[in-house]
Amino acid sequence: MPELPPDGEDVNDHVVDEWVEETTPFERVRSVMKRTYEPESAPTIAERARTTPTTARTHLRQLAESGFVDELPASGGTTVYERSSESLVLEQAHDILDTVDTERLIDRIGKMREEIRAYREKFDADSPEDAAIRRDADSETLREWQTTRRNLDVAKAALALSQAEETVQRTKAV
Amino acid sequence: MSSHDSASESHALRGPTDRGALLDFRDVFTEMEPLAEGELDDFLEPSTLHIHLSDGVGAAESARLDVIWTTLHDYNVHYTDGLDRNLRWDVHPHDYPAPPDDGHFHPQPDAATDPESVETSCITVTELPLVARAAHALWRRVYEQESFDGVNAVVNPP
Repeated sequence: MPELPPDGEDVNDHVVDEWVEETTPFERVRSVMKRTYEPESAPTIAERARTTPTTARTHLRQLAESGFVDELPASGGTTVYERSSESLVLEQAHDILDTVDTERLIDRIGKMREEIRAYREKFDADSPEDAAIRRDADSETLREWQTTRRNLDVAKAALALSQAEETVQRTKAV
Repeated sequence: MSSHDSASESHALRGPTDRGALLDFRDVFTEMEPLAEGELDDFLEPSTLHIHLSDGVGAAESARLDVIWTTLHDYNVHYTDGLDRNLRWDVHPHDYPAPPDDGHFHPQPDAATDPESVETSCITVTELPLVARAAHALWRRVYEQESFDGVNAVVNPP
């Protein structure tokens, strides 16, 4: 159990101190990058992860090598970093496959497809982005549409992964 | 699917709900809190993370934190308990005259949404692991003192 902030101590300072004490710079860079979906520079990431730009850069290179983040060239010969989409999709797909069996997954994919179809019909648009431009659509509904689309794509990836793994196993057994 | 008492206000969140972020929040919070168990409201298509607490502040016998987190890092962290007391720390664009930033707080007992009641949020850290830790520290503070005093205080009153 972590200690409570003493009376008068700012809760933000308290949790930053605690985070820095309990984790390594690598862990902090990794957890910051885990949900960084837009490219950022090493100094920015360093600030977010409470470490130095040099340390952040070292860990970002390691994370790029392992496929966790993507390295992209930016203006002025600099490099920026973002979470690898492939790595993100696989992370979520594996989390789903740990709990959900193929049959239920197929069933839910069908239901999510239905939901997407219903959004398309309702807004007479192919995507939530189209709907947002073309008419005065309720932003919370568009957000739900975006969420369903994202979850559907991850569920489809999980299913494909599970089926590919099965095929590979079966081929091995012959 | 929102369980919030102020549906219109929560509409201002930007970006799709981030399933991975909800799981990260669950992991940080439950690792620190023996009273907590976390679950997604829907495993494959979650809109909210429910963190069930087996005790509440003061006389409340149970409590729950409902967390919404989007890919653009907007969020709601909503405390509710067995005595139907609610409060919420939010980050998202809003129409209130104050505070000027996206971060704001809807105070207990009913997570009030009228402009005079909405306050600046005391949670100013923005990284998910830090926000989860801050929510936990504030929960622990009010749980152990058995009152909501200072639940949104940057510094405890002297």
